[in-house]
Formats: sequence, C-alpha cells, structure tokens
Amino acid sequence: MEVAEELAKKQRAISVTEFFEKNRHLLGFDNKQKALLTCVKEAVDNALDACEELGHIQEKNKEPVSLPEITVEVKALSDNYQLLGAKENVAQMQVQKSIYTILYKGKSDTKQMRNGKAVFKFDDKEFTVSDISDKLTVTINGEQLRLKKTAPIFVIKVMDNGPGILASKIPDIFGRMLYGSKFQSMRQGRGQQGIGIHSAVLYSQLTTGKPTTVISKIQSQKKATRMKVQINITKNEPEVMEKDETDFPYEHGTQVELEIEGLYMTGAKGIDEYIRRTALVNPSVIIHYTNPNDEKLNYKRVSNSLPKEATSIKPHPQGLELGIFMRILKNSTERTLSSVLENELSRVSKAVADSTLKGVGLDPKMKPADVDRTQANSIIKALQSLDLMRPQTDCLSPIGVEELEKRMKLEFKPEYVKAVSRKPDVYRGMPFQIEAAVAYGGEIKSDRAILLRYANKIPLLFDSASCAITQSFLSVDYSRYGIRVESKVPIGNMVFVVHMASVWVPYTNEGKTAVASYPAITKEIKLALQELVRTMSLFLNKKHRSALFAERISIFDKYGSELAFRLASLIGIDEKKIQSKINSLLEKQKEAVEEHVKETLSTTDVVSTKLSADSEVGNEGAE
Amino acid sequence: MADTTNMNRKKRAEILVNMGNGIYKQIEKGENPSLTLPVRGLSNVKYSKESGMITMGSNTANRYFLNVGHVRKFIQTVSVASISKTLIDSDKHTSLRDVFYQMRRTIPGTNIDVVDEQTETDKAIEDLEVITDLTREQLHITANQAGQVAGEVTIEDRGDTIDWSKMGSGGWAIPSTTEDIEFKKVNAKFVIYMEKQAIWQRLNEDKAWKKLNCIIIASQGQATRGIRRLLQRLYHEQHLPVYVLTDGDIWGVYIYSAIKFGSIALAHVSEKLALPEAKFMGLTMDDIEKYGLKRHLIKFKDVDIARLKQIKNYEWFKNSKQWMAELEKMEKLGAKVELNAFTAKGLSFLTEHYLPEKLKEKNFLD
Repeated sequence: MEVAEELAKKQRAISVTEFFEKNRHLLGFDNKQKALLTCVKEAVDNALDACEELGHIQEKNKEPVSLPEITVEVKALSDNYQLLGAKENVAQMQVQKSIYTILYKGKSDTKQMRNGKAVFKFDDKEFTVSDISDKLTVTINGEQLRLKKTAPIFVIKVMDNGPGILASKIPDIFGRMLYGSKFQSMRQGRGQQGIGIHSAVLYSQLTTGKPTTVISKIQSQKKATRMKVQINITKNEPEVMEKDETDFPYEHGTQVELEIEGLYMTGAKGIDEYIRRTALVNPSVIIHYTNPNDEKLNYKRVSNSLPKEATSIKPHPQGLELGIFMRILKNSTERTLSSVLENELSRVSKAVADSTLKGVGLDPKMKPADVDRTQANSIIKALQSLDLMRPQTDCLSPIGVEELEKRMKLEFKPEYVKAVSRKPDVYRGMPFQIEAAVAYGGEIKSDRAILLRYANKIPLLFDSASCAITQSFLSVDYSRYGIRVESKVPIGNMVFVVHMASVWVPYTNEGKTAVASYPAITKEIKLALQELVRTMSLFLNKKHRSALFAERISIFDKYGSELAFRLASLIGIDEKKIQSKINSLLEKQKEAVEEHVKETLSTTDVVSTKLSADSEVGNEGAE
Repeated sequence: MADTTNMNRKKRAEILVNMGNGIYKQIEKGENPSLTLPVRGLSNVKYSKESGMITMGSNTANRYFLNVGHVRKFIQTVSVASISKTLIDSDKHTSLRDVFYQMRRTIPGTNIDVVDEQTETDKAIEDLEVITDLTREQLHITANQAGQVAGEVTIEDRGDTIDWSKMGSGGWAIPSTTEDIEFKKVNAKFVIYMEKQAIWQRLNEDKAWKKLNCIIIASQGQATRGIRRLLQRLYHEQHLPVYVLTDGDIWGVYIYSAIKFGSIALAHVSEKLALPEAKFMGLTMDDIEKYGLKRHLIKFKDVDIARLKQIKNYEWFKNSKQWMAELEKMEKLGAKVELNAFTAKGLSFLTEHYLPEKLKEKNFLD
C-alpha cells in the first residue's frame, strides 16, 4: 500500500477522516455492499492469521496445537434513514422494531416509542418522531423533515480461538490508522498490504457513530478484557470508551464486534460466497457462519495439521525493481553499499557484491544513501546478468493437494476431484507457487466451468477479467483434451480452483482483487490447469466409455424385439415364442457380447463420439 | 402360363422362408445368428474378358446379429425379406420408396428407428438379392419410373398396344420392369441412349428418331434397371446396335461403362443388365477440336479429377488402349464439355450434323 502510505505521510495535517474519504476505493469501501464484505474480510483474515501464528508457535514449542475455530455472525440491525432539512442532511435515524436512534452532530440517543411518539433532545434541537398509521414523520423544532431510507445497519461479530491480544495493545491495533507490522515484510501472508481492521473501525464510526467492541483473552488471564475502541479522527489516536472484564468461551482468543452501514447481497460477490471460498482453502479451520437471514452455515475441519509456516525472505536480484532497490538503499542500516547487497538481498555473497560493484565502477565501501538512480540501475543490471542461485522457495505456505481435494469433496460433493501443486518458481525475484484443483459432476449444478481464484488463501471475488488467473484459464485449449468449450470456457458441471501463494502477490490494483500477468505466473497457472485437465479427461473418457458401453450393449435387446417381429411374419412362428428364444440367446451370449462391445470401444475415439451418435452404429459402410 | 408364375411365386416365397428358418435355428441353438452374402464392392468384382462384363467374385462375408457394426443391417435385411414375403404371398408389387416406409418405424419401447434413409433400404434390398439369388423384380419390388422412349416401334404391355412414334412430346414412359413387354413391330436401325432429358427433348422435337431411323431413350444420369434391360432386349431380340450419347466428361464415361460392363453395386445381375456390345457416341476429346468447342470447356473440379483417377484404374478400361488414350487426353485437358454446347452452333446441330457424322464415320469408342 505504497500510495496510501505516502499519501498518509503527506497528509498528516489533514484529518484521518478526510484521508479515508479520499481513499475509500483503495480501501475497499467504494460501495455499501463491498464495505460490508471488506469489514468481514478484514476481521476474518486477521482471525485466521492470528490462529495460524499461534499454532506455529505451539508447534515450535512442542506444545499441543490449538487448531483454528472461527465464528462469524452478520446481523441486520435496523432500518436507516437520512433526515433531510430544506438544504442539507440534518441527522440520521435508525429504526429497529420500535426502538429509534438519532445521530446528530456525532452524538446519538436511543428512545422507545410511546403512544406513537418519541422525543429526542440535543443541545440546540428537539426531534419528534411520530408513527401514525404506519406513516413515519420526523420534525425538528416543529419543522418537518424529509426521510430518505438509506442502507441498513449490520452488526458483524468475528470470534477466533487465536492467541488473544494483550489488553495494552488493543487500542493501538484497532484505534490507529496504518498501524501494523506486516507492511514491509517479504513474507506470504493474508494481509499483505496492511489495510487493516482499523479501516473497518473507522468506517463503522463514520457510518453509525458506534465504537468497535473488542473482547480478548490471553491464556494467562482469568477473564477476558472487553474494550470499546474508536479512533480520534483529528489526532489519529485510539480512544477507549469503555473497559471491563467478561467471560470468553475459549481459553484464549479475540472477538471483534463492528456496527456498520452496509448492504447484504448473496451471489458471487457476497459474504456467503466469501466465507464459503475461504473455508475451501483453509482445511484446518472450522468456520461457524450465521448470515443476515439467520441461516447457519458451518464448515468442517478436514485437516488436523496447520499449513506450513510462511517465512520471510529478502528480495532476489533477479526480480529487483529500481524503486524497491532505491528504497532499500535509503532505509538500510548497513554502512556500506557492499554489505547492503550482501545482507539485504538474497543469494548475493560478499565476493559477488564486491566484484559486481567494481565491475560497474563503484566503490564497495560507498555509503548506500549516496547511490543515485543511474548507479542503482547499473548495479541491478550487473547483478541480473550473473548466474545467481535462485531464491529460496521454502518460505511459501501452500494449501496442500490432499487438503484441497478433501475440502472440495466436502463442499461440492463431486463425482471426481483432483488437485495439483506446481513446484515453486520465481517471478521478478519473488518466489511463488501455483496450486490448482478441479471438481467435476456430482452435486455441482453449473453447466459451464466455474473458476475460483485465490491469492495467499484469500478468495478473489472482483475484477475477474483483468486477473492473470482468469486469463491463463481462458488460454488453455480444452478441446484438445476432448472437452467442449463455449467462448473459451469449458462446458460441463465443473469447478476449478487456482491458488497463487507468494511472498508478494503482484496485484493489478490497490484493491487486491486481481493478480497481474507476469509471464512466469501465467505459464505456471496454465501448466497446472493443463495437468488437471489432462488427468480429468482420462476420467471423462472412462465415464463416456462406460456410458457408451451401456448404450451399445442395449441395442441388442432393442433390435432383438424387431428381429422377433419381422421373423414372426417371415416364418410364421409366434412372435412371443421367438422373443423368448432371443432372450435366452442374449443371456447365453452375454459374455461374448460384452467382450465384443468392449473391443468396439477400444477402437473408437470415445471422447469425440457423441453419445447421441449411436444411430451411426451399424453403418460402417462395407460397400 | 399363370400356373408357372404361381409355382414360381411359391418357390420364391420358400427361398425367403428358408432364410428365415435358418436364422431361427441359429437362435434356438444359442448361436450368433448370421447371414452369408457375397462381398459387394470393388474388392470382389471381376472383369471377365470372355463375357465382357463385370461379375461378382467368390468372396463372402458373414453378417452377424450380435455385432455392433452389423446388427442394424442384419435387421434391415430380415425386414426386407419379411416385407417381400408378404408381397409375394399377396401377389402385389411395391416401390423402393414404399419398402422404405414399410420398414421405417421406431422399435416399440426404444428410440431406435430401423431405417433413417431410403438408401439403407435400397442397400438391404440389394443384399437380399445377392443372398437369395432373386432379382428385385422377383421380390416384387419395383423402382420408380424414370425415362422415356420414342421411335417407330409398336409394343404390347399388359394387353395395351403402344406406338412409340405417337407419344407426343413426352414419349412413352418406360416402366420399372421391362421384362414383360412384347415387341410387335420394330422399324429402327439402332438405339441411342442419352443421359440428359434436355437432349432427348431436343432430339424428339427434331424428330431425330424418324430422320435417322432409330430409337431414342433417355433417363436422368445413370440408366435404370428397366432401361438397361430394355436396351439389352432391343439388342439381343431385335439386333439393334446401341449407342450411348453423353457429355464429354468422366461421369458420362461411367454411365456408358455401367450400361456396357455392368456396375459394381449390381455385379450380381450383370448378365441380365449389361450390354458389352454398346458403343460410346458421346463427346470425345477429339470432338472438341473437331467441332471447335474449346470456348465451352468447363474446368475440372477436384471431384472430377478424383473420379477420373478411379476410373482409369478399372480393369475393364485398362483393357482398352483406345479408352486409356481417351482418358489420358481428358486428364491432360483437365476440363469437360457438355452436349448442350452444340446449341451455340444452332438448335438442331446435334440432329443435323453431330449424330449423322458420327454414324457415317462410325466414330465410336468401344
């Protein structure tokens, strides 16, 4: 999130609110529907990361590992209105059953209606809400306001059994914009770019005026800490509104409760789908999800081992870009240029660093900060011309082939499932790894292939067309494997999953919604898909064969009855009698016929033979 | 007379029933029911130098019921036998098209149609002919009428006396079976068979049959069995030479070939249909030069060239130096010329110049 970071630095003087408003689209709050999804996503991603982190520490300490269990609850709370005066938006009002809340100049008050009326008093204004025969009216100091219905309010609750958060850290984590440690690390993680939970906190505050409630317990605490946190929007500092203790269902863990304005939609870009897809690639996680329609959707755990821990690595010269290198030079604590190359980049030894620098006419002992762009560029070029060792790739944390297959079996109840994992590769010096899976038939309903995209285990729901995954998916020639296509998409009830794991996923946009097309990446994706399709086509072929086998075996029964009919009139014997003789013939010759039909199948290219083409049988054209 | 026909009918029906009983016995024994029939196709026809005809070889093949590739044809053959048996029993005749409709049905309780196209029943009928050694006519199946004749000939057909010179612009329509017509009076010196209706119309309007004292016969493309039998009878019984008038192209050559040597598909009935004495009076490559038709050439298409190469390989053409030379010329030219091209020289050029000159010079290919 370079842009946001720089913007934030420049705009310190401007309030956080203003920054947020200007960068809404970058943060994933461009509309109410996406805002609801973003808030859920931030909370869930944090929960998953926290749980996995705990598990990995437990593994290291050889303690029993507590596997992740996450509860997500999204509830529609109220109807929401804008109260409009003659010229401007005066206040906001929320209605839940007969409870009314008015938000006015950052303050709020809640009242229950009595005798069709509720009166609110703020410093300078008196609001009267009345509901007479289902017609809602609001007056301010006697003047009637226009009511405009706006997005409803939702309460989002996300609870995990992660390590919990120290009470003293809660305010900073939730109440300060751009606070976080993941930001610059070269390590595979969900929240790669540091748009964190605090943006959701701020959004909540701006739309409903409510603080965020955090309940967290660490192992050593007897009771959980409960805090209501909000952001002081002028100082960008956390404000703790309330703090007390409460019970918590796990020994350790965190629960976040946000109240926001949003819009709940089902379908491919909704929360339900996001949760479902998240569960699909997190086989060790249990997710209990309750959606705004009060439907409970539970996702089981299919693996009892956590995914491999992702480790940090340094940039490799092969993919080093000038901008990044300049930043490294500027921020490095190393004293000499030579030691920057040796210690801040991977696979560069001291000897290589010194000889490279001498080669481009630079003093290895030069101060890193003194290197200008031209010099930096020549260093990169020189390093890239060397045959360096490839970057280490053990830093990645893939989903795992078996786990992915298990999860897909459970989710789609398919007839066939297959996952593949490519070997890690490198694009621009960044290690990455592609995993892909396909599920076919069974309870999958779609008649065209569905593609589910993932980057670092996060489902990508938007901007499908500009994504390298989609583009690679469409570039595979499925017809070569006997699968029919319609506008490049395979026909049939199948679901493809493609996951890219990388220390740094190259997104096409600030919204982290699509992977950029680097040749190394698209090539790997395509190879993974081809491997899947090749294997699947063997299965489909077999399936078609058995269908064709049944079809062909049955023709003897069918033609048998015609033979009885015609023979009866030719030789004057009762048709039924002939039919029963034919039946015993078929029974007697059963094995031989099956053998014969099998042979006919092995000599034809079954995939290209449509099942309906059996009328061709027998027209082999002996003439 | 009526008695022998009846006897014949009984015998013919018996042949069909025997075939059916053979299948039934195989079923009873639990054997895979099969029919044995001569292989039909180029691989099993021979050109006999002695008779000058294409005859069927001795290769046979079995057609099995319990075989994915055979079952449909097997059923079709049995079905034709059954239909034919009913026809013979009731002494009725039916056309090829009617047989198709009688056989065409969806097998009850299935989605299978026994036949989809008439070509299937036509083939099944030919198969039954070779299996039983009975001709289609003996099986009481007739072809559609196609073709007409004109000339100074009087015949009797089913009790009617017909004068081929008094049939107006349409001529006498030749029935599918010409076996039973009787020649009463024949005043003609030869017969011309032509492949094109339009040419026949031209010659008939010109009264060419009167001017040249001949019989003119046409069908559309390949001569039907009825016409071929008629040509054969006119040659053998009336001693009239038969000339075949076609376009100067490879298809015309094959029409001539079928009349003269018999056809590959009907090799089993060559003796009843082929006429080795027929001669070709169609357009030759030399005629193009002679009559200045170069402007009217039509370039060969790929199919023309492919067919030409096939025909050059037929034994019965390889035997004739004259024909091989003609085919070579045709291939070299790579183009064809139609009889209709003569229209450019005058409507009756054919009647007044081409035919008399060919006859006078005896300029035929044999």
